[in-house]
Amino acid sequence: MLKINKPASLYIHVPFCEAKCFYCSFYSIKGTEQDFLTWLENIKSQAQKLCARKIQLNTIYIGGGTPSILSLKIWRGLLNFIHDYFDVSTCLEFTVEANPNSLSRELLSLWKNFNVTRISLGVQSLNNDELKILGRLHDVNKALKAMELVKNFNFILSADLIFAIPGQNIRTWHNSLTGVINSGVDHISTYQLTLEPDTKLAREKNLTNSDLNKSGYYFYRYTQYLLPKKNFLQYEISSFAPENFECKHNLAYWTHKNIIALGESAAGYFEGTRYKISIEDPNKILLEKKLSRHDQAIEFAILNLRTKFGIDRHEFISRFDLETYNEIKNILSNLPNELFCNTSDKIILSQKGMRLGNAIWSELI
Amino acid sequence: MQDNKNQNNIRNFCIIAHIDHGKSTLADRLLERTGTISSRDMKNQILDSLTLERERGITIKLVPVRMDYKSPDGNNYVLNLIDTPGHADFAYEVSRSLAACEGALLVVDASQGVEAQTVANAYQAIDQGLEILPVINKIDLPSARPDNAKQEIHDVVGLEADNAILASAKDGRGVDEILEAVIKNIPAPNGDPNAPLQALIFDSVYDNYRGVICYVRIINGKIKAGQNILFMQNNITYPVNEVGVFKPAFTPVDELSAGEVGYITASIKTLAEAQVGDTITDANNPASNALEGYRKVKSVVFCGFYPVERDNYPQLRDALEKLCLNDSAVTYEPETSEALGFGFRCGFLGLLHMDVVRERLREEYNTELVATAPNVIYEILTASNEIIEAHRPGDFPDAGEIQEIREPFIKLSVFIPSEFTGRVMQLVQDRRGTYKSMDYITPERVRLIYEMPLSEFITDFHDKLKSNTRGYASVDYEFIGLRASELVRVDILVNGEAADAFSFICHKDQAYNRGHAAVVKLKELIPSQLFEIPIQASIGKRVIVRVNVKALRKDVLAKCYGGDITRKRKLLEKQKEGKKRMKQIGKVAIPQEAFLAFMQVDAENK
Repeated sequence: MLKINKPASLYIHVPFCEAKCFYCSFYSIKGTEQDFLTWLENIKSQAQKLCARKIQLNTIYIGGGTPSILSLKIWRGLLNFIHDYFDVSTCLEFTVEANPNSLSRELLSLWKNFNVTRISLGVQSLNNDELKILGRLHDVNKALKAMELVKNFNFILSADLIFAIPGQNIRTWHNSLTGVINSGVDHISTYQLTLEPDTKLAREKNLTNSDLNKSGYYFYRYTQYLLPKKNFLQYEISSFAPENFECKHNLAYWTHKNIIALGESAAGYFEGTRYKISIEDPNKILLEKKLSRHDQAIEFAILNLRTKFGIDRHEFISRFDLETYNEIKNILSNLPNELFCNTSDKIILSQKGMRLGNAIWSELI
Repeated sequence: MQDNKNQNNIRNFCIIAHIDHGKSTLADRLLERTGTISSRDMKNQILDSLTLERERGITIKLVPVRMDYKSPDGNNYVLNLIDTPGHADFAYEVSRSLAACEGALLVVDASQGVEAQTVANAYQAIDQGLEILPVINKIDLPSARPDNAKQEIHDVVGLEADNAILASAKDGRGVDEILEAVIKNIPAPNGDPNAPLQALIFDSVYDNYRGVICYVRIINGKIKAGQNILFMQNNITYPVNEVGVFKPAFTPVDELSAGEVGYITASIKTLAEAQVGDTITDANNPASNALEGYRKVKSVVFCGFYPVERDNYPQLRDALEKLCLNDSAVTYEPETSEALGFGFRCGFLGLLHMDVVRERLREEYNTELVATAPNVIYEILTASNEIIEAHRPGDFPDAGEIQEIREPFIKLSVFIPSEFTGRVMQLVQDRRGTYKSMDYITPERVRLIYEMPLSEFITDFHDKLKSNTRGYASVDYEFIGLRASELVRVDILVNGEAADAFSFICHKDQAYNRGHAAVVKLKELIPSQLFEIPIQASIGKRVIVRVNVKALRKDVLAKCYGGDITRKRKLLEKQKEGKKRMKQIGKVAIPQEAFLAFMQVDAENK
């Protein structure tokens, strides 16, 4: 059985939503106060099962689902538990995900009191037609207000935006991007809409992912063009931020840092082992088969390549070995030069390389 | 049983019919009527072994069957029904089956009339001296026009058909009359049971337990178990294990004698030793001569078979070996392709035969394979006056060293409703056909005779013809030899590397169009990769057409956090798996489907 006893990042999954967005295939349920309570109790017992007390936390991320729909009472219980069970004195970043629709002053001030530093807001678009197609519960006005509110509380603000929405064009995308920048965001995550089977959008729209992929190219390229000019540098496939505003918690995923995961369907990582909290039985921790040393190295390389920091030769060799590093370098040297930045001790994808990540990584597998 | 030994009570006959004109159903009725098999058992016993044929809607060969029939005239008769394959690919087999009979039922669909294949087989039957009984089938159909059908038999085949039997295999009408006509009109065999043995092999099959089973017609003499027999073509001797008749199950008998039809087993290992058309005689008392008409079967259509997974080459080889035990007309020899790896160049009697073999490999031997476009053998007269045979584009010498290229030609006869005449003439001319003659069978139906290269015929000519005539055309062909043609080899280069699987031979006037069609098709089939890929068609060093597969522009999944990592890795693994199944030509990965689809390219764009 897994017992986490070293410094780590903490991820807590809140599997509740007011309503399912038309594109979403993640596990979520509507949930009553009673469900929230049960969930909180499960979180506590999962933590006790999974990790020692007073582990030093590097980062905390409470995501979902829609964390902001939990009641103040539940939030208080959760935050108290985190502060009590873990050592948060070392925590560099504490993010909570929120929806414009369920954000309140009371919540924000509670979060502030419990040292939350960063709010990730599901803005998705600043165009009402697009928000409707996505099945979001908020409109543009609400999104703008929510961003203003978060900034007034002095949080670091990140906005999620979706591109390749049916009906979207490069101008409305431009407006969404510049709109969130003008609202003072410090970080932008952009995602291409994907049609997951068993979602309302996939069922109702006569579209395929390959259609979305085609238009996705234009939106993504434009993002890569526009955001750096506004000082939002692309530091990962889908993440843009000014220097030092990168999401430290997410970087932990891409650099194989240990992750404590709590809450149904949350996925964590400890020293090479990936695990997941069972959805059917929240008391069950499902361990994945540990990858071979070589496969771990390849996975590490692929995750590293998502970021602008790339694969660092020294770090890679200290974690794994020179042989594998050279193997990777060899494979990639057969690909066109323009896909990579010209660096000697690192392997870093160029902008073009980032657009073609899958094709490049699949060479390594 | 004993009185059946009298040749006077034996009738050996076959059914000549076009596909769909009701041959199998009529055969079923005859079996039922003579009580050879109950209607309930019919499906299981007769048709079971023929799933492949049934699925394709064609009957290649039925099992021969022996019926005991008590005629209203009070006598007992033995009727042997021998089937003939209904396709031009098997013209030789047809001739051997006919040679085992004294008569034939010429079955013509009452609404469709005479079709090309029927004429060809009927002519052959007449040529071999068979008595022919015209039967107009499917008279139960509302569209039946029996008088027209009779007229066509008269006008096209040249047989008197006024007394043709009107029948419906469906409701059983005419079946009794057919049986009586067989007895009255088809001559009994008149071999000499006391002469040295001469048995004609009209078919042979391979059985896992008993080895080769020869289907034979005893022309003269007698044969029984234990006897030493000699296969006259191959000059091999075997002791007979068993002789028997088809009831329709294999049923051993003591002896087969002149006039009878049955089977022989003799622990023969390969079909090649007991070839269709060969004569079996008594090794100790051989006949002075073999029966006439034996011919070595020669492949005319060729293609490459390659395993989908390179590792499966040994399985493919084993499957081919086993299949050839059952079908001696298939030839194969190993070959290598840059794109497809190790495989076999296989030869067939024709297109249908090729399809059947491919299907059988897939279904019976569970072998997934890539088949290259079918082609013919070319004969090349070199500058130094040497003659070489070219099986594949790669065998062609450089253009400068070629004096003349010769290719096989066929005489094609097409039967069509006259309204389609213009379209069919156009189609045949587009395929380098030379007009020979045209005549009206009836005011509504036309027979066209053309000469054309076989290579044009084997690239989906039949499909095109069908679609141009709403399925009403029927075709027959025969080989008329090699003729000089102005042919060139077109090579396809992918990213500058020759992709041998895609090169082809064609007439020089078609080179541009077909080269263009090929590169455009390949462009669709080769997925975008991390770099731009030029695809070119060239004749020798001269590039005649070029297109580019644009480089991939975006291929990345944005989200990748905790739970996505494993999912993402699986996705990449799947992507990689897909790529592994592709064939690498230089730096370019080409999907299997490209090779498969390319087989249609030639055809589609002609």
